[in-house]
Amino acid sequence: MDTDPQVERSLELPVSPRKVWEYLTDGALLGEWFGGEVTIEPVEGGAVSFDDHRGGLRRGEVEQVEEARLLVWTWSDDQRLSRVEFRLTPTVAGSRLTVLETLIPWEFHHFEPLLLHQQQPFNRGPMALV
Amino acid sequence: MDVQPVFAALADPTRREVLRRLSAGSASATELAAQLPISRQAVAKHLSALSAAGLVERHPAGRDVRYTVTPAPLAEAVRWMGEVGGAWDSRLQRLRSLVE
Repeated sequence: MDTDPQVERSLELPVSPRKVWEYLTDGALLGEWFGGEVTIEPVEGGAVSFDDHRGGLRRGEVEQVEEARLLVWTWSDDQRLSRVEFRLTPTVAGSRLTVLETLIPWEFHHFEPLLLHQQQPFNRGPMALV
Repeated sequence: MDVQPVFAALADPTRREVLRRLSAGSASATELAAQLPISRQAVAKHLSALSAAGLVERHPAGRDVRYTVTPAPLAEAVRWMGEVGGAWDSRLQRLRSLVE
């Protein structure tokens, strides 16, 4: 939906897309810039988890993978579900990384934890809202 | 916001649709009924439930009543954008310093 809250950021980096891709798909490397402990199975349907070691825990699922070009996952803490898209494009100086995070419609998932008791949730595999 | 009426209000797909349309702009019961395959009376009942749950606000305007989504969710969205934008700024700054 066009009205869904969204945040976009871009970053120019002096290394190849392939190099940046490692920082998106390796759990240990992700942990270094996200902070805390990260696990990721960088395949469609794979699980992701982020523990910031300060009480913040998010889990989710990888939706799309195009090697060195696009990585998409959805993730949730116990309150919000959102989609994160990373796009990588080569530039003269190296690469551009664009991140787009979209809040999935508030009128649903704001109350999704309540609805989970009543019906099947997103049916997205290893999603457990803590 | 009391949780039980909100849950009940959102459990109905027509009410979710009404809420979705109102988030695009204010409307009266008549206008909504023209867009949905239900009677004006049915729309009015749904609006009543949504209003009781604190999800929409009534704005009397002459003989008509216009409805809007309550501002709280919008403030929530703005807060989310600030928080998430800030989080990405920090992460990307660390990524840059790792990569360079």
